Amino acid sequence: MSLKEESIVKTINPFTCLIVDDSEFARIHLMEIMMEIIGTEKIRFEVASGGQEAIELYKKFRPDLVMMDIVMPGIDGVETVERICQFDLKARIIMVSSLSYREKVRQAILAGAKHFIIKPIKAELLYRVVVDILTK
Amino acid sequence: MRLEFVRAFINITKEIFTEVLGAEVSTGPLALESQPRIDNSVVTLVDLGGDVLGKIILQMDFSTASSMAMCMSGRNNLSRAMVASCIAELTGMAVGRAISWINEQSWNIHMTPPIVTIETKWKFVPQQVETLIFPLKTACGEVILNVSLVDKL
Repeated sequence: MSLKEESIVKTINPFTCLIVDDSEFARIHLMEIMMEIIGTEKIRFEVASGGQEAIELYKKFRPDLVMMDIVMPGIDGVETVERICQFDLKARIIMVSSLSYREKVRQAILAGAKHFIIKPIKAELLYRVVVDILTK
Repeated sequence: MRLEFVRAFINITKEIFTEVLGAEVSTGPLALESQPRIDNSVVTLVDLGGDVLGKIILQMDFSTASSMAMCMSGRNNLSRAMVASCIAELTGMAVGRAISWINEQSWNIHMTPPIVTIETKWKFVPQQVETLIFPLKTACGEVILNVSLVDKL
């Protein structure tokens, strides 16, 4: 049985997911994994290639879920999380980064991120985290 | 140049390349040169700051970059922009993971986002910067890893 066929996925309502990464490849790759594990019919994607654009899109669309890279030109991922959470304390943000030392993870969580996933992304782990965050 | 940092960049780059490309990566003979070994094919630059100043530069030919990008994306006939994006992502994962390891040893190093150029004349090649050069032999072709680090402390 594939992940998207698991019964818990059927309980997830359609949702909007904002993907924030300066790498076009990373944005597409993340979208493909999300469609594979959750199903295309459940997700509407918005994408941003930097922090400022992410903040603007968040305010416009109020996505149910945000996937956030850390190392980006301009405003980095941690500061972007902080600014989004100043606007919406309940923002559901998953950090997705290879920069994963304890202090950086601590900064991200203090800024308001709910989870931290280390690149390269493992589909199974992403699935568990997404299901956890969307079913709480 | 702190060898523990250099080792981290080499070993973790090998690990990430092996994991992402799905095939073993071996290293060729190490060389110490007076400046990075780069030409005008596909060059990826990451600047380091914090407790050390330095540059990590990956150099490969376009066919290697293209082959890696196809392997990562599962697609053929990728645009040059998408090839560059794949190589930037791969480099970012390797350098980011290495920096994470170093920072866990009580150092403070940060990185810039990778910049990839394809067949561009480099005007900002660092001159007279002692550089350790490691050829990485991958299933997609050879990648030259240039590591230039200067301690600030």
